[in-house]
Amino acid sequence: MLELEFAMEVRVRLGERIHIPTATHTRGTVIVQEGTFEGPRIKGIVVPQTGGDHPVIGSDGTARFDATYLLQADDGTFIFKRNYGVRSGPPDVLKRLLAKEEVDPSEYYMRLSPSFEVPPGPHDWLSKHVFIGTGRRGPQGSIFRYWMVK
Amino acid sequence: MEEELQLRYAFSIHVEFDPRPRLKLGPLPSGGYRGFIGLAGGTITGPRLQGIVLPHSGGDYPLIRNDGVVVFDARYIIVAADGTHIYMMNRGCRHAPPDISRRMEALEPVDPNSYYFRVTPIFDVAKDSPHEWMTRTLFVGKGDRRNGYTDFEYYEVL
Repeated sequence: MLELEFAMEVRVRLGERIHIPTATHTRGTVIVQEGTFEGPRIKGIVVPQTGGDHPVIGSDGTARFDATYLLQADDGTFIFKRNYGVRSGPPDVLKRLLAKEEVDPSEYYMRLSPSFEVPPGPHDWLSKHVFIGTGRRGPQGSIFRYWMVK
Repeated sequence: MEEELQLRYAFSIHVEFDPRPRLKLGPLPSGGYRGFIGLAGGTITGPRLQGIVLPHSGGDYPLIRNDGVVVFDARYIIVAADGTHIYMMNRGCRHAPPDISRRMEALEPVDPNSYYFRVTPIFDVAKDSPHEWMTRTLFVGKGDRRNGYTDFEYYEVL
């Protein structure tokens, strides 16, 4: 079995969503306005407007996330974060999420596998481990909770 | 806090490598090396998926970073027992203490608990196939690299 160690919670406020319906899928795009993150070993801010999420949304409503933006730890270190993941659930629940209604996170599945690029030093454990986590979408933004896979 | 995130064993993949020599390109202008190893075939067993690795359907193209971390980028095709083709893309990383790393380079057997080898794969499969759930699910796995093959254990993130 794999052991997990809680790494951090990230809270982001998101801008307006834009959906681009292509021939094969819908490409979503949303900019991260600001945020914070905190865990036992590290905390800091999400650097405002340094990136966002560009999910591929399939015909069944399932979203595959592909997000990139910057974090800055309390000691000033910049961290490049890339977030892959998936959100799926019953069609009516996904519809309510897209309409920005408050939906209980147990009604849908939102799981993530972020990776981080950091300079060598006290935070480089972030670039040497695999992480998995959960996400919940609120009307104003998202809350992610990440665990390090030991 | 671990109880918030539950894992459930899903399947194991035994991957056989191509006997041709591994490639290692570099040093790259952007740093590190790009590797290549082809897959000869393999088998999948477990409660959630059974099948084979389609022979010679891909390989791993890792980035070997200057800090000693190997970052995987593997792609290949699985054939489920019912005949369905499943595309697999595997990301993750491996690193080891220097003496373990040296023994792995020399293809000597080492204890899989003496180094770090974890992955998170992504799958593509036809809509309405019995395996469609795999496209809506996050997985995490651990690897055990041996001479000529690697054994992976995969868990579904519930």
